[in-house]
Amino acid sequence: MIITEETFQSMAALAKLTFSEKEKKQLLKELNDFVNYIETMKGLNTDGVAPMGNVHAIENVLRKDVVLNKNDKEALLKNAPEQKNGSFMVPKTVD
Amino acid sequence: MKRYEVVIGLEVHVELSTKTKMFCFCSTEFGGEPNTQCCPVCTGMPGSLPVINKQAVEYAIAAGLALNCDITQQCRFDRKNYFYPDLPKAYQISQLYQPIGRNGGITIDTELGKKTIGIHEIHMEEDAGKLTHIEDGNYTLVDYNRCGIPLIEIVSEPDMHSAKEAIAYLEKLKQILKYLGVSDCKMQEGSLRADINLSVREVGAKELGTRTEMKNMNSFKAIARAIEGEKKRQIALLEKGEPVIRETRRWDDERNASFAMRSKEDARDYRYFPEPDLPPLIISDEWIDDIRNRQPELGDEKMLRFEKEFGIPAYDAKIITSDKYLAQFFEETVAICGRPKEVSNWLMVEVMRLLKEEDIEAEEISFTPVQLAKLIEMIEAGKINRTVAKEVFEHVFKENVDPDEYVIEHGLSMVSDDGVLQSIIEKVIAENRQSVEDYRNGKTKAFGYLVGQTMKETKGKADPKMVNQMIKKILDQ
Amino acid sequence: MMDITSLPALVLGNMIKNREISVVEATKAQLDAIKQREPFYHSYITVMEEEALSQATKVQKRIDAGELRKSALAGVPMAVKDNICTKGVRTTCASKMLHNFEPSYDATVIERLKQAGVIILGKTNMDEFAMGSTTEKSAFGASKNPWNISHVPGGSSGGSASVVAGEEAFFALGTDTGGSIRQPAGYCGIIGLKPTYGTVSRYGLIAYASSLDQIGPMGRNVSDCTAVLEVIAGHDEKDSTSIHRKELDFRKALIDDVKGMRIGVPKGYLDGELDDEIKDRLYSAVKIFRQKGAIVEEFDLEMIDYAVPAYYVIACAEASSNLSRFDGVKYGYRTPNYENLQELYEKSRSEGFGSEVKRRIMMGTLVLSESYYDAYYRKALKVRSLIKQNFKKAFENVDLILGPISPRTAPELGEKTQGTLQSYRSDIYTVSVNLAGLPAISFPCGRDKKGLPIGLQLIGKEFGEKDLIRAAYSFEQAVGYERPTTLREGIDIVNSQETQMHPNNKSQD
Repeated sequence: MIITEETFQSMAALAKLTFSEKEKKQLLKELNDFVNYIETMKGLNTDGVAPMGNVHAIENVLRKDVVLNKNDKEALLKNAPEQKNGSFMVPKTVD
Repeated sequence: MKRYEVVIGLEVHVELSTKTKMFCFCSTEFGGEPNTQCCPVCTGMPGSLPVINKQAVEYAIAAGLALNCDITQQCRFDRKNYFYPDLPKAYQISQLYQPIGRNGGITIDTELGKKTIGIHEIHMEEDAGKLTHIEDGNYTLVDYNRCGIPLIEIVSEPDMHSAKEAIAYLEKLKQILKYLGVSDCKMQEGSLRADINLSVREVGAKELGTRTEMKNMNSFKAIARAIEGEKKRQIALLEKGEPVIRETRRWDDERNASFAMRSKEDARDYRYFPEPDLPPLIISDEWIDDIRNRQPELGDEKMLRFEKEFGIPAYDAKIITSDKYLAQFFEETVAICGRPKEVSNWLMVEVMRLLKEEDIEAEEISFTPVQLAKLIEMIEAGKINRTVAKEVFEHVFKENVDPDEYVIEHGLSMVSDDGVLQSIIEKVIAENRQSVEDYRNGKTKAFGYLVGQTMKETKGKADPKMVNQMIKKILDQ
Repeated sequence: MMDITSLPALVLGNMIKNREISVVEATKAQLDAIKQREPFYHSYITVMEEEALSQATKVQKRIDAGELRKSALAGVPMAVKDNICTKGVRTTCASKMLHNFEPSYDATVIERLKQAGVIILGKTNMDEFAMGSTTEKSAFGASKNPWNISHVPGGSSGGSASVVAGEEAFFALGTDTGGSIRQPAGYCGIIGLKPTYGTVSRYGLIAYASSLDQIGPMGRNVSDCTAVLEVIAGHDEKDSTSIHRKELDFRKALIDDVKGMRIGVPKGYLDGELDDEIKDRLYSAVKIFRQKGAIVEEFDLEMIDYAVPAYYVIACAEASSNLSRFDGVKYGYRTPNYENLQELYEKSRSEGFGSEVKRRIMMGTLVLSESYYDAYYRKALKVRSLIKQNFKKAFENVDLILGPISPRTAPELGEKTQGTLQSYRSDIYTVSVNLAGLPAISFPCGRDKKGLPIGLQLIGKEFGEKDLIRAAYSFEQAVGYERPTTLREGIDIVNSQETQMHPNNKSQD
């Protein structure tokens, strides 16, 4: 069991997810199966290979510093679950 | 009594003065109504994608060069993942693995001479939104206007050992960045923010002590206070044999104390990984050279040039060139009326004093070099004396008046008519027989008194030189 | 009124141009068919009846004014997978999390299609956030395969495949991250094309895995798909990963000629868990290509086994980050019961996401975490690089690679999958294509004993869409297109249940 319950809890906390005991048990097993499975990648020798995040060798995609966007407040707030005075609203955050 | 030294590192966030945000075409103007300078990209709407602002990259490279960093020629953005309401995508596009600048440093002046403060790295990132906490409503409001504004984060080496050094470093940083024109560095508007990393250790110890991070200082003075406060706090703990806890603390300037922030998450794992929506930046030698060639004359260079070109003392040159706009003002005024030393005196003394009093920056000065030049010429031409000039200048500074008009309106022209002065002096002497006696008995102070009384009679407008000469003549008879 | 809904899109487009039928008539006819068929297929999450008819009127006016002369698809009604943003129209990603989300903008592909005068009928069902391969993992209920409504249409673009096969739209947009266009196209007996990464803008596509996602056309024949590709392809400044491609005149490749084309069949694909009937079909396809003058040979394609783990590591990692924005703050589902910010986050996300989504987020969070980043994420990126290099090498000797799409044909609805990992492994033929950013097309090649379609895929080299189109088109001329059973023989009403599409109260398990 590479992935312990402790690790599971940390990951869930990072991902802001909570699970029932039943779900946790099932998912913990699946995570371990998954990890065992992806361990098989070790079978491929990748020494000296650069990691490839972007599939094409594009570079330097840059844009001009010109203001093109206008006030879009209505549209952006339209889907807000809660809003007040033109702002999005959340429970009081504590620093 | 053990002796401790304090070790300080600073992480400075600087807002770049681009017109648009880092990854979208929204305006960066300060002070708009909430959420009126936003779009799907900077509010993290589903399906939106970032596109890099070229000007922001160039400003970052310029800053890196001016801070003597190596520019990372293969440079990438990474995602820093965490949840907070001011972060709409729940990740910040930043740089971890390949920051744009590394291994730089700047020189500051200390009592013991020049010192280099190392710069570990500088990287680009986007700013977060603004949270407004409403106490009695028990909720928080979120405004994304600021979200996505381009920042550079400048991380120093822990090379500072006092509040003085830290402030000197910050002043120098601000000077350089303002000269470059990449930021207006206004702490009150949040375009410059500093976090303090501080630890203490016994003098001579090899290892660093446990450090704390402090946030929420709104001015350089507050930073100095925070450093002093934290140093004392940590030393007190160590003296008691208690450990310093590695934590983030919030500086409360009003209470002159810091408070541990409730940690949002213990030992945060930000799961940095390269931003897949943005291809890498390949910064060629040509591009770097081009930016380097466009670099304006920076403070240190300008200082030396002023000394040479205008023949003003090093001390003067240093003060005038400490701020880009002050230096510009100097050169423009001298271009009109010459007299560099005179101009320099006005800037160093009166202008600096009034800037402090009004709590504004040099670029906010409302009057022009034309007015200062005029004032200086008026003194030279004997139209007003220095005392009056100072008074007039205050109005020029605060109300942007024309000195000529003001003097005429308020009847402040210098009184230098022989006849007028003669009769006033005679009157003063006649009314102050005792002082004349005292002077003749060797009390030189009495002379000054008589001059003073004469000036008073003329409401300060008399030509002091003439007054001195004429009184002396009469008394020495 | 003849039943026009079985017509190819380009044929309809032509009829509209020749004024044999008006845009409004065509749209109405399609909407009527949708009303009839939806109770059985459940392919649409949202049908935009009013908007479609209003668009139809406007487009007709533009056509009458001579504006859309060059647009082959003007007036043709289509469907859009529900992870592509449509301004003012609910875009849900088949998730409770976005059940009421209305984008404030159109995705670039939608802008381009609207510009070309296409009519949007509605948003199609999918696996939640494009994570799945049966469209059963939708918060709005499962879709059905028009060949047999007890079977799945595949996923994650199952709804799009189903509307095309079931003649509820003339063509549709799907998205492909690990096979999600090709596999459902294969299961439903239609054409599905995944373009070279970067060919079609991702702006407005609600991201699953940023470096793997591509939008592509799904249609009843190769010509239709090609015409759609021409409209949607091309550089977009809003998408920094979009490529400046020249030669976007893909329809020039609609030529029935494969003489001398070198087609390779990877030996490794024929071993393992591939269904015998599919293997047979693959061989018969080889025969057909050979008869038409192509040179078809088996060859060794290495690293096949590493593609699936690498894919899942990268896809889950990117997804875990892309889906973090769904936090209940700015849009989407917010839990009704919370005391503080942490609860807002945790409950909104745990209640709003289905179990497969949560599973993949957890996996992604794990592989990006400090302890595992190098061993898994970074490793997967290196494996990816080798897989791409490997394909490059292969394409030195072949123009196209021919292979299966899936080890089996469409499973039954509710079939207990053998387990998560097993179902992941059945992506083996498709994921490597996304890892390498290559184009691929899936096309029908007969049916199995149960009467379900068997699909095959051709993989092209980078930017090699024209070869793919030519080969698929040529094959199509030999094999033709078959309408699904339920349309030919009438839908089996006895065994089906008529239900509405709506979000379930529990998240779909």
